[in-house]
Amino acid sequence: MQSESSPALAGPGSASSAPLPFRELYENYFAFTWRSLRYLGVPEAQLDDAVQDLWIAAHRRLPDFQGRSDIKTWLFGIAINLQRNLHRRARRAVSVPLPSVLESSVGDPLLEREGQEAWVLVQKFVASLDDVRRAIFVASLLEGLSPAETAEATGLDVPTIYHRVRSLRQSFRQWAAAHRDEP
Amino acid sequence: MSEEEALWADELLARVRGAVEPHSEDAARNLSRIEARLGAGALEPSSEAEGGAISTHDASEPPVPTPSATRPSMADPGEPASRQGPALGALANAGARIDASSVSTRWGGLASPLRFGLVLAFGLVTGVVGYLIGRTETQHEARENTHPSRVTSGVDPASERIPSASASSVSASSASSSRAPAATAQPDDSAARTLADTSRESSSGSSSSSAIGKARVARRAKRPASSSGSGAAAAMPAAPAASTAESDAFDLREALELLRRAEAALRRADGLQARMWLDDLDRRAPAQLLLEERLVTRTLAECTLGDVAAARQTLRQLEQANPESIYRARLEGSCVAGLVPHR
Repeated sequence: MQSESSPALAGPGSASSAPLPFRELYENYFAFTWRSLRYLGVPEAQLDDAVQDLWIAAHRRLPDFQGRSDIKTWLFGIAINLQRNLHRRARRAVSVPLPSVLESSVGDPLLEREGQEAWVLVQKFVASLDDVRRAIFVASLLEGLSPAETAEATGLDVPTIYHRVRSLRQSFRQWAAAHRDEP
Repeated sequence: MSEEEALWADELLARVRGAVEPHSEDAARNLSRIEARLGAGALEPSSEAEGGAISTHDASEPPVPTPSATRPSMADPGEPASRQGPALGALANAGARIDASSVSTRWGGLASPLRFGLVLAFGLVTGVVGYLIGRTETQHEARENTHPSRVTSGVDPASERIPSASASSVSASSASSSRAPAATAQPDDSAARTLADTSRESSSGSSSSSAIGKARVARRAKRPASSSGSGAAAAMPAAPAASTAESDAFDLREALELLRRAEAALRRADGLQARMWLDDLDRRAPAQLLLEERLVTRTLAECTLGDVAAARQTLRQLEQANPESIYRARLEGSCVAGLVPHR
């Protein structure tokens, strides 16, 4: 069993200046980054590439990681940037059809049936949000990051996060109630 | 909106949380591709021992976002200016990678003494600003600590270490916004308690608008106690003060969720995934929270991975934690079944 103080959190400024072991980091946070990119709307066809880009960026920036923030929020920050770039590129590329947020989940063997139905609905809502709100929704309501962590990952301050999470939850409830009977 | 509808929305989120997960082969497949893209030996321990500073990478690699150039401000134009904070922390870490070559090119035209002077001046200004901010915060904290309403009494140490049952009972999807005030509320602080109660009410979705109203009232009641100042700082909600303690809190609900994911992975015979979830749980949760359940699940995960030695070691930890554990029955039929004493 691992100790609570993860070596991955040891930055240059901390007591232990041991280097961050990339493999351990990858093993511990791969699922988190995969889910985050998926939640943020990266289509499944691009998911592998996006995850690899994220971890290559993380590998390159690891020496610069100063341990001022949690490693999870740091990775989520990279995921936000990556998703935004992908989204922008997809909008520019006329020949490439815009990624459908639904096509990727249909028939996905990973998803259990109930979860899959829920995911189809939630994806619709997530796709209707702007970049900032999508990031907050994913970080706070799907990944369960704390308001402080969400604030760090998005660059907003904590009161704003509280305010927006409350508003997002309310919007989602209304939206879900309106779409409840959809197949 | 009825309570049932609100609960259904929360249920939707909970289902999604358990459903969107990668396969273990996704991790392995992507790791091998990452290695291939970084170049042979890039992830070897020798290079990691140098801080992972890999200078060579595949030229065909797609451009990785350089946030300083590509990332627009995350600030919402509709948000009041006083509520928009600077992009600190993770974004600074994730984004602020200064390209040394571009810096030297941009500043190359200046004479060395002038460059040195500029750097020195910048350092001095930064230091002074940092000192002033630190001093202001220290004074603010001192004021808060000396106020009678901040003195705690009769606080159960366990409830400080682990969020209280009432904090844990907050519904699944409301963790982020409502957990913090509840978890950090002091027993003798009626305003904070009211805020926690109203947060719980709003999380259940029964009367969210009235709950928000009550929370505002509670905040107003708390404000004079926490600060005698006025203006933007006083208008801030209690959340920032609570956030530091809150970020450390890890309630039972979250632990159960991670444990449930690990068990779901086990049912798929995905030991690696199960172990990842358990590692996540170990890292984030207090050591004693659901200890027996974690150890049993880890033992089974290690059995699934064929790591019998590790499974035995985990079983020993379980025996040490509680020799009479009711969960030992779950290990019957596992790779350590012969070691489980029958009582």
